[in-house]
Amino acid sequence: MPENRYENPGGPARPTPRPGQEHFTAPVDEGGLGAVDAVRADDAPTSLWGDAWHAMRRRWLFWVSAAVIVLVILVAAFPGLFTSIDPRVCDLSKALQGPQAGHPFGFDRQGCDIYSRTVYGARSSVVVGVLATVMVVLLGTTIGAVAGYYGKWFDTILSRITDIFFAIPLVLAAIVIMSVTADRTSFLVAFVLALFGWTQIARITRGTVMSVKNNEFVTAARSLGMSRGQILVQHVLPNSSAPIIVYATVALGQFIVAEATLSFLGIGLPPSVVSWGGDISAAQGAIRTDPEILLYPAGGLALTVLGFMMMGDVVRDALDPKARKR
Amino acid sequence: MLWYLGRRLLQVIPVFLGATLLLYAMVFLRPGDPVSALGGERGLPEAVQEQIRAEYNLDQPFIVQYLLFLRGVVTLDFGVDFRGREITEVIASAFPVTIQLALMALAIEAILGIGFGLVAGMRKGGIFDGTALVVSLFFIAVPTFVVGFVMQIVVGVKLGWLPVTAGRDPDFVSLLMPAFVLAAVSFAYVLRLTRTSVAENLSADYVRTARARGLTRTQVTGRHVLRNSLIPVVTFLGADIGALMSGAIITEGIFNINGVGGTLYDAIIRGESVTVVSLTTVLVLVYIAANLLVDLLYAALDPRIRYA
Amino acid sequence: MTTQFPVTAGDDGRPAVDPNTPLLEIRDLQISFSTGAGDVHAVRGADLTVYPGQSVAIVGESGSGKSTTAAAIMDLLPGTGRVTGGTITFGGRELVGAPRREKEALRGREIGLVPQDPMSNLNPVWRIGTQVTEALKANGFKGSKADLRQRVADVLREAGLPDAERRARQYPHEFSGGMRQRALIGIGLASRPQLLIADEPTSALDVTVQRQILDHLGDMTRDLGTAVLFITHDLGLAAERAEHLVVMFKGQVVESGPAQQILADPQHPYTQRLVSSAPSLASRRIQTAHVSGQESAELHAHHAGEQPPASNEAVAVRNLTKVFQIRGARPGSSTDFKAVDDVSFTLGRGRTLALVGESGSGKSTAANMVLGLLEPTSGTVEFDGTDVATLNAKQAFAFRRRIQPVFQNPYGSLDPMFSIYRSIEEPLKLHGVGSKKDRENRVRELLDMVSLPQSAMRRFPNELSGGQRQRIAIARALALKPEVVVLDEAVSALDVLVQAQILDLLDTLQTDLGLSYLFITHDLAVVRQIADDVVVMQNGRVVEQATTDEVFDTPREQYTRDLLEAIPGAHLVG
Repeated sequence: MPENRYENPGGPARPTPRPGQEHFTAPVDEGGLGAVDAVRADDAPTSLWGDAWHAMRRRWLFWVSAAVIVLVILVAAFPGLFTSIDPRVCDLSKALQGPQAGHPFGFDRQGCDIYSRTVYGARSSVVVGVLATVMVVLLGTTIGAVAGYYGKWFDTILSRITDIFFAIPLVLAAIVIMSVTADRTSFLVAFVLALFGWTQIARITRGTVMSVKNNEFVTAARSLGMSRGQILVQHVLPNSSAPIIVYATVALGQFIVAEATLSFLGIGLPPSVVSWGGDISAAQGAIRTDPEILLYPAGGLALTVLGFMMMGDVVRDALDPKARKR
Repeated sequence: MLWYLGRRLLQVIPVFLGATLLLYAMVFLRPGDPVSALGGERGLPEAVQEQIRAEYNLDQPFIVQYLLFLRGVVTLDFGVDFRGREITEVIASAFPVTIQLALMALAIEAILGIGFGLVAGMRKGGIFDGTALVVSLFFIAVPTFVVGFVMQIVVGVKLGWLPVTAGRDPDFVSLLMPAFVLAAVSFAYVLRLTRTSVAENLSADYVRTARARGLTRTQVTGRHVLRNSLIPVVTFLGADIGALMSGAIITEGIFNINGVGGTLYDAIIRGESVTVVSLTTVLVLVYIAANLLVDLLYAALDPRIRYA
Repeated sequence: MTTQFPVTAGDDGRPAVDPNTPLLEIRDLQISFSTGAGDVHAVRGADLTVYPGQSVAIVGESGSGKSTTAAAIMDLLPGTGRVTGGTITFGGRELVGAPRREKEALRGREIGLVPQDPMSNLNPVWRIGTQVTEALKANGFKGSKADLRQRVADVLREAGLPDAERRARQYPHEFSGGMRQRALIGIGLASRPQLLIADEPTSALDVTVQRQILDHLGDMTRDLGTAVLFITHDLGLAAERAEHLVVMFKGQVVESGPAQQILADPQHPYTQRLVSSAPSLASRRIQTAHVSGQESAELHAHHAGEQPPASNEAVAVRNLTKVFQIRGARPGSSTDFKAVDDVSFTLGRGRTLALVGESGSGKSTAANMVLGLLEPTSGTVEFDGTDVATLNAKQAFAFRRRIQPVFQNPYGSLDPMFSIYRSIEEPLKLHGVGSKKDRENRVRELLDMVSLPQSAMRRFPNELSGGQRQRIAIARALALKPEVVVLDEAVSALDVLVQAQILDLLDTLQTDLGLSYLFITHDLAVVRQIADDVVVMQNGRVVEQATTDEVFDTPREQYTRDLLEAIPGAHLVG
């Protein structure tokens, strides 16, 4: 093989190019080549959140779930706006009567107005769901972030603790604790759910923080002399927030379901508190004769959870870096 | 591979100890005395209470109680419950039906979830995909017990296709409806996971390269898209075995099945602390074992893990 | 030349090839992607002709439509992309609008592909041999199991993988990048296609490996008589490997013709710019008004308003060593890995020192120790005559102001949550420089310095291009008026023209501000454009150390010569 085989690119030079391969130069575009690298000057600046908002706004699912969530929160905060009937005032003589004027859903087995109970039931679900989610986010994010960011033995110990709590299924643990607790308030239910429900968010945070901390902007901050704590709070956590927010929306729905399950088993909120889970449990006895009694609280529950879950879906799509790249 | 297995087994030990300690503390370190709550309103005579306390080591310091309990777990001797039955026997009679139920649910969620998820993922953004997503959200949003009641009313009472409740010694057919109910939520998660995974793998470089090699669409879908998409799905399914067993507590209640859930619920209501701890310990063991299995499955499915 | 590779893939009675009939003809090709905001026309009226056995290259920067054109030939357009007009004729058959089965039959058997990134193009869960088998079977291989196994080993051996039988049983993650690319080349040529599309086949590999692979690919396709369509951003590589070039820009062919003619006498303004900017083709350092070390030291003293420096050495690194412990699979089986081994060099004030090496050479680890981000196992880093390790916490914090980094990845080096203003202001704020008003003025000044409009400061990183982000990163690094800037592969991820602009900018800033640069790179071609002195590293050790001219004109070590040899297009100039 000749030593200088790359002297003539790609083999022997041809004196005349073959048909279709003649030297061709495109006419120069009237606009010219343009600046090689011009900053967009036409539109308003958008942050990542601005981008996400822009993407969400275009989806009908976002508006539907937002409407459901706003409605549920309104009902939970001001049930008096939606009904003037006291859900706790019941008249046994009206038990199981069907819909009538002023009582669109009829009466349950105790003769309570079902519409009013469905309206008032929203509050306990929303309160437990929101409280538990707030606690879980605070606890899970802290543990996950410390484990993922500081690593070493922090990670070893915190990850083992997470594993231990992860090994006990949420509903099982809640049943064991709640069954022996006398004073069952919304706060306590939320606390118990949070105590065994933080592991997932801790794992998600840990993973995200570990990948975010390898970014070059973190190294750049270190070479500015920024302390590790400052970097965690200012750079790493904000950049880890997207999956946490998405998971929190989904978790909110799951906690509402879990609360209803406990109330259904009779070990959640006490019967004196109006709750969807409790009402479903009460309706269970008449399931063959009057199944519709069950459907109203169940419908309220499903609609609420569906609202939060759909919102979680929309937010995830909008924040997904993979979806945004293209 | 062996070292990997060994390391994982070693990691399981502290998790098991921690989880059982936590459970034990939850049951026995609570305010109030489990023994004085026995015997209904009037309570048992003081002497009998003392005797029970001594028998169950409840007069010992907490940590000693726990260690004695741990010895019982290791020797598979959980002692007797407050009514005098061998707890090992209680476990042995409760578990088979729950295991059957959980496995049936697992099969249902795997077949339906992967099937629908694959179609939805291949046609992401289409009508089937949209419907599948909304339906799956619906299954996640509606609590298990509501799904159970609705199925009882519709499939059991109105249509009469399947028995409404299962009762004692249920056969395959009467377990079918409970299995569907138990599988409902996980089915939705499997569907969504498969869909995301398939859609992601469809745009992977190696899938494009496989097409460039001349493989047909069916070959690419089966050998590259589905095979790789199954890795997260199978790990989810493995971990779900444990969740299904403890989730059975609701389903068994609705369908009147005498499995782990029913027995556990009875024990909780009666305040049979020793039975509660023993049953939950076994459930936690199953849970931990399932997660261990997942890790091994993961290593088997993804060669990159094996040598890590 | 004797034929080294058997041409008989299985005699399937293909028609004899007429060397003077085009194998592939693309006329007026139009490709669009539909997005939420409407159609994006990725390729607009591209023409291309490839004759049997010929090498043709499409050259262009990212977004030029070169890869999209290649994907359209194989009907592998990603996502919503589709051909909206024009014709693609292969071996006399029209491919646009042909039925799916017909195109499936064409892939692999008549048109092969060598994809860009060897790391992601092999399915991680299947053995290499399985993936070769798949390709053979899909393209009509008939024969016994033993024949098949034999043929799989042959394919891998031809691709230059020794010990092929054992290799076939391994998984992709057990292969190095170069080996994977060899396997992919083997797969691409396994069924003896008439055309091989090589889409940036080596851009993810180290330079010396790059050259070996390209040589091997060239030998194989020449012996088999396969036509090759190279897709590349590197004009030097294209000119060296192909006889006919097609230059694309923003979806259009701006110039095409014989490689040498285009290189020697580019007609279109874009091609002219590309030729003059290609680092592999440039022969001299950028010299805006390059000042000597002495002058720049004076400039620096003036600029920083401090006492004149004691020495002409900004940074002196002595016997630097870094040992990492690699944890093994078994407990206690950790091994020591010397990432940096007894490295010494000095960076003169106002000068540029290039630290050159391939991946794993320890150059970035050394840079991180100079930046004080990593503790040396032994050895010292002296800054301005002071050992950095002896500084107390407060002094160490103050030291940070004097040395600042710019990193490779323009997407990762700016916090996506921070506006440009906040990003550049952050160092000033952290070090308590000036009032809010002062800081704002300084940010504006810095944006001017890196030639970005001041309006850019309200924007976010995701709105800027790679080159613009790198300018922001430079502005940010300069905010605290450092004396030394560590440029860790700072231009490697950029397109050629943008890269040339950034190199010019760096040179201007050096002259104006008297900066000293520690330039970390794998790319010797860029070194010639920017560096005064070169340190060549391999496996953690310094192999050769000299001025840039000496290294390029009279390299002493074989490894340096290999590196120089590997610059694509090196033979075309000088």
